[in-house]
Amino acid sequence: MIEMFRLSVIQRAFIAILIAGAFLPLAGSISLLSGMSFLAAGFAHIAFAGVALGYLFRFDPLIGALTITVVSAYSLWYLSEKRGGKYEQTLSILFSFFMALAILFFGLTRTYTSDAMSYLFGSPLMANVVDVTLLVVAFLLYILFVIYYQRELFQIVFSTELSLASGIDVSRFRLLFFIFTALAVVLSMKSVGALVVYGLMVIPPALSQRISKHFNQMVFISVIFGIMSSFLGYILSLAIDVPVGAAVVVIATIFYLLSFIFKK
Amino acid sequence: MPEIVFHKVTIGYPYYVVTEDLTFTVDKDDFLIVFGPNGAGKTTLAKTLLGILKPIKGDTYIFGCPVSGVCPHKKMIGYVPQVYNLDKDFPATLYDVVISGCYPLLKPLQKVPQLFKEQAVENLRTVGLIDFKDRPFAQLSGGQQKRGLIARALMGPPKALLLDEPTSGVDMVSEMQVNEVIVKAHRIFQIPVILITHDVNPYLDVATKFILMGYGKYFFGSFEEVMRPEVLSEVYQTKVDVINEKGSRFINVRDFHHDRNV
Repeated sequence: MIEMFRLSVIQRAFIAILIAGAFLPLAGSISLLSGMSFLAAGFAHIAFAGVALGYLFRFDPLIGALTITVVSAYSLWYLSEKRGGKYEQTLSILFSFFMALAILFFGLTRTYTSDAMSYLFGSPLMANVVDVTLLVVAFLLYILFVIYYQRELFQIVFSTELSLASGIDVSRFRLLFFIFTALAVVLSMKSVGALVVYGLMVIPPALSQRISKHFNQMVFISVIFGIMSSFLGYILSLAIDVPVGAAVVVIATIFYLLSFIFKK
Repeated sequence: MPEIVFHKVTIGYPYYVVTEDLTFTVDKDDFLIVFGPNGAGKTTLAKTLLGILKPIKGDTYIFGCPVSGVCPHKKMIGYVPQVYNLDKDFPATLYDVVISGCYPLLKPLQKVPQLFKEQAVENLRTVGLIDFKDRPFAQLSGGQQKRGLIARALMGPPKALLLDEPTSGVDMVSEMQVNEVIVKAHRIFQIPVILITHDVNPYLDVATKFILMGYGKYFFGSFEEVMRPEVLSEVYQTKVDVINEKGSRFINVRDFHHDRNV
């Protein structure tokens, strides 16, 4: 296995899976505490319409996924924040609509390539230099955002009303959060797959919430468990030749179950 | 100039006016009680005071600064919200919540000054929760959480304290403790208190001004000016007695259908 790590494709895949393992729980911690856990599942399904669009019109599916998901993130924010729509309902409608479009687009292409399957089940070996670079840049930007605004984020997840009273522009933060989450989901899809992006956004933060006493501690521990799950999942997938996304989520779930042994 | 001035202010939402021509002042030593039936606009008034809602028209000055202008007054009013539902696993201790009251006063990435750390501990002593400092906030009782939020609101310290129904949903003993903490904070910090409540009786001895809000109407003034049976009965649409016995004053609502006290 050590020999395999000399290959650049394996190294690139390794970086992609570790960054996804950190990025998704980082965004997931905020969404979990904001009561928006469904956001990741919603965006992962919405992104699939962009992938299908890319295959239909023969352009890079990642561009299609990024465009449709970021536009959906903005639409979700606009409809729920500015037009009085209910957040859960709006996301559910966007989710259903874009999933329907994905099926339509794939139906029209009359093909369902293995590359398309990599977005669904995850295949870090398919991630090219551009995919990994975009993932790293978005992750670094999100880390800067979280560190710089950690106090505002704490206040927002603690109480929207208190945040507004403190002069925080909660709506603007929500827009930035939706867009960063959309980026985290889409850019991680190739590595871990649309179906398990949700798992990495929810399981490590849920585990961390069980054992953390402080907000910063929860965010940090969830990122550490996300990286550990990704690392072990990737090794497992190479060792026994199983889809990496599934291996990552199984490992993350085992960690979660083990957390019941510990108390805050 | 009074700390808070509302002059012919209309409050409400873009498509819905709640109360028109609201005029009142709050001085440094005032303890103002805002009360009235559900849906009368008490929380709308609180949101306007906090700058969350803009006044539809009229002149509003908070600490001498017009509310519509660029004004840091939002950071000067300590606020305790009405409803509070928190996940029982929310990752924050009572101290984390109290110290967060100084966050609006800090620059991004600025280390929390020692002064604020000491203030947070002192505020926890003031509200009687110093022994609960490191407990998870979400696992405290409703009354303890409310007292914790008062300790948070007193960080700075603020130039005024605004509380929106701080005793709603807490038991009788906790209600008494919360009431004591509010009166104590008013005395120690010497800041005006604006208290929105349904239960005015515990505060009748300390309150200096009252605003009674009732579906588009309002009454502002001293106890004698506002707490009149005919005014209260008109707003609440039921018989309300104002009882003054042996130096104690309290308001009693009567259920006229059964002609008995409730």
